[in-house]
Amino acid sequence: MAIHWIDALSAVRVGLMYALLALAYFLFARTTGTINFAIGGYAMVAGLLYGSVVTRVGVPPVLALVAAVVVATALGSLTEALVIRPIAARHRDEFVVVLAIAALLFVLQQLAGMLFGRRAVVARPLTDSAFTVAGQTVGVHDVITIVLSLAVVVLVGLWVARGRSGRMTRAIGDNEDAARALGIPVQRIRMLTASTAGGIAGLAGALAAPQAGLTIQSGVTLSIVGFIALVIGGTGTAYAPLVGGIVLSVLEAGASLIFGSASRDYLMLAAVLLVFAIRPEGLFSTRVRTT
Amino acid sequence: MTELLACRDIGKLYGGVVALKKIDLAVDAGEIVGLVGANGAGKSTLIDIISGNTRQSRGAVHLRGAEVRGGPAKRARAGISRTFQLPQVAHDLSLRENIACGLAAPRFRSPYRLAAEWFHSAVHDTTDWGLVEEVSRSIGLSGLERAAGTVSFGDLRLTEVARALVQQPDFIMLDEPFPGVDDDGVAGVLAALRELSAQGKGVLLVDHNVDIVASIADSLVLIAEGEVAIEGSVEDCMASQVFRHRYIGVA
Amino acid sequence: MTSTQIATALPRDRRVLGVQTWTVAAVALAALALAYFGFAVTSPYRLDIAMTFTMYSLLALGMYVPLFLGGNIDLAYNAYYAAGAYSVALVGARTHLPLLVAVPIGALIAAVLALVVGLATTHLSGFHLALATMLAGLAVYRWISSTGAEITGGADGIGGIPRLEVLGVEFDRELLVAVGFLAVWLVALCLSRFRRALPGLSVRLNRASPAAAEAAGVPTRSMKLMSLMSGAAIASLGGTFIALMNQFILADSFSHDIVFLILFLPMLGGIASPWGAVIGAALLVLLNEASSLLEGPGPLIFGGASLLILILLPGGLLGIAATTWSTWARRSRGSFDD
Repeated sequence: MAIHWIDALSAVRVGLMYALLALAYFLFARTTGTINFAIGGYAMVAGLLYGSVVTRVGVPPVLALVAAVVVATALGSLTEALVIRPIAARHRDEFVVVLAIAALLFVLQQLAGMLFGRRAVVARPLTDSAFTVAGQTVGVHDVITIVLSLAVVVLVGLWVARGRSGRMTRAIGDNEDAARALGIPVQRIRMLTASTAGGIAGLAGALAAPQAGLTIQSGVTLSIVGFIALVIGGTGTAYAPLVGGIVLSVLEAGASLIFGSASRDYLMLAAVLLVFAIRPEGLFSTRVRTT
Repeated sequence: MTELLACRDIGKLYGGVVALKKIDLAVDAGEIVGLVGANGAGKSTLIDIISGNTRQSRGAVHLRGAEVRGGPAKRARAGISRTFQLPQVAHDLSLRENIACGLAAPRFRSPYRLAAEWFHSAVHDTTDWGLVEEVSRSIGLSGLERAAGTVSFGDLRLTEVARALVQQPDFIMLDEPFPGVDDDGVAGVLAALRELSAQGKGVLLVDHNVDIVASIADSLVLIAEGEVAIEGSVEDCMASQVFRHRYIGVA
Repeated sequence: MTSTQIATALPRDRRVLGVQTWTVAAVALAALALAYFGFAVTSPYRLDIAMTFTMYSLLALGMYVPLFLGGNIDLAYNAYYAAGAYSVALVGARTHLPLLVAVPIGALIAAVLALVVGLATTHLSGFHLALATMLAGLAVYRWISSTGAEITGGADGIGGIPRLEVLGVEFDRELLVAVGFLAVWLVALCLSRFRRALPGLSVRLNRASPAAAEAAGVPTRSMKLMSLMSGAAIASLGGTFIALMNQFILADSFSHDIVFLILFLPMLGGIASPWGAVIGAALLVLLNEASSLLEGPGPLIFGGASLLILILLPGGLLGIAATTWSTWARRSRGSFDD
């Protein structure tokens, strides 16, 4: 079976979407220590918002994209300020945080249902224009998606490695008390990463909306694939989510070619259990988290 | 006297750091051994190794002549009980309920027993609350209905001691049970240890207060830099200039 | 003090809200009886509400020990629910066995599924455990709704389940709901006794400090598997019940959506007692009735309330009641009693 380059391109596009979600998890977890299951919820809300305002209200797509990212950014920072911070202040038990985030995801899903309806929202691409390369039509939207996603991954990578506040995130993740003693504004950096994570998830959701056929149920699905990409890549560097996303997408495309599309859920379960069993810290990791 | 518990050539590495170099130690039936040493000398590590909470890098632990293997639960069922330097209790349970958990050792002897007790407990509470009450009273711990999250540090220590006692152990290890405990509590714990010793059980007592330890122990073991520096009867040790120097000098 | 004396006069820490376990159980039984005769049997529509309440209660009670006492985040409960329902459907529609045997079969299959999930996720905790178990639930749902369609009927489900008949007595919907209510009462009572006896206390100590539980002689690994398996078996009863009531099942009922819904019930009611799960289930069905199911703002209010309770009132409604009660009791007894 010949695999055409256009399929590979599509796998890369999907993989980058996963990578953005995983990157959002990565940033959120880096300073708060929380795997924020609501990441997929932000992406779902952003995607539905983008699709709805373009199709139903007639807002220009670029403006809608910006609005979706802004809303998701706000959701990310609200999660940190109103959910995670108050609970972490009282409980040391991870269980309660997991429950709260599950409740948050549920609330986002129901809220989106009230606002955008419960059926799939048809979303238009940023632009309908396309060009032809070697007999294959490539949508400009796809090219923008790939370029923008890569740019975000690289920018975040540079920020975390070189930026002043970016390096502070590492210090907070390693030892919060020490970071505080060094005079690092822990709360402010947390808020910064939480909102950035929200924005990145929102970008992923809005860019994927035209192809993904999002519904309010997509929040859970997106949360899961993003988390799996994170699990595969690990949390060693800011580029690990990129690798995780691409690996997951290629695996998925390969499995549906070989075993049919129904195999997807089994594959995910197998992949996750395998990674947990062999390398619980992910494929790319510089330090093992002690739990 | 018969040897109850023995540590043979125990060594422990954490990463590349040597926590215990070489420990040989024996406790006879009915004997109370005081284990002393400076902070970081490896006293708690040794207790962790004996109880199975940590695996040694070298050497073996023997109970009644047979090598002890397996995890802490298995060793607890074999008759080893312990307390923790930092009390480990469930804060939402009352003192009474925390102490009762020690009954797991004599009760959950096999997976089958666990399953039987599991379902039976939904119908009928067979927990021996009388024993919990009695043991607590014997060490002077009262107010058992209080939630563990609300009591003093000293009472938490006594709760752990009581939990270790209701396990009905053959060999008990107390890791610094006295800081924060009032005089009545200390006297109660000492009396309980004497009682165990009279029944032929073995005791390993770790505490910084060498006077209390010396007042009850039959022999003392001083560990320093991961090795047994000095061991012997309490009289010999307390008379020894080297012991006093090494213990008081570094502590 | 002998154990019989203790059993008759529980010390204050051994009671729920300062009230003896049996008093709580009697009040709950009276409330269920009132709900049955005063509400459930008065119209077929209300009987449906009572049915949903029973199903939610059984699922939430199934989660109580492993999740809320033990802190093991198992999100594969849709699979255990399905195990109960499909056992009834397959035994009823495809065999000539007496339908009652489907109840233990469903519980057994659910327990085995939980054992597999528990063994596969032995070393996981927190978020990783949540992900792995959720995927296990998704995989089971995928199998039910498509891959295993030859057995499970796929998305169309299975219909034509006969009425339950035991020793010549036919169980119609009203009688089934009565049995369901009794099952809820019995399970909650058993769990509240379990919670305060040695195995339940061991589960709770293990959550606070696995090292201490192990050192106290608790075989923590077997215990975790026991709690997952018995919880799954209880949850399977919810599926058994719903299949017996409706006499048909649809694959869509067994997606992970139900897990999220059920997860919040004990929190809403209060996790300090299994009765909190029952209270949460009652609130959910009342809320659903107040706003029309799924399309209205009911689930949103419900989810939002759960979130608020988690952030602001970790004790749930029972916690509020307990605080009020103890304040009131202290005032009426005089403040020196404590």
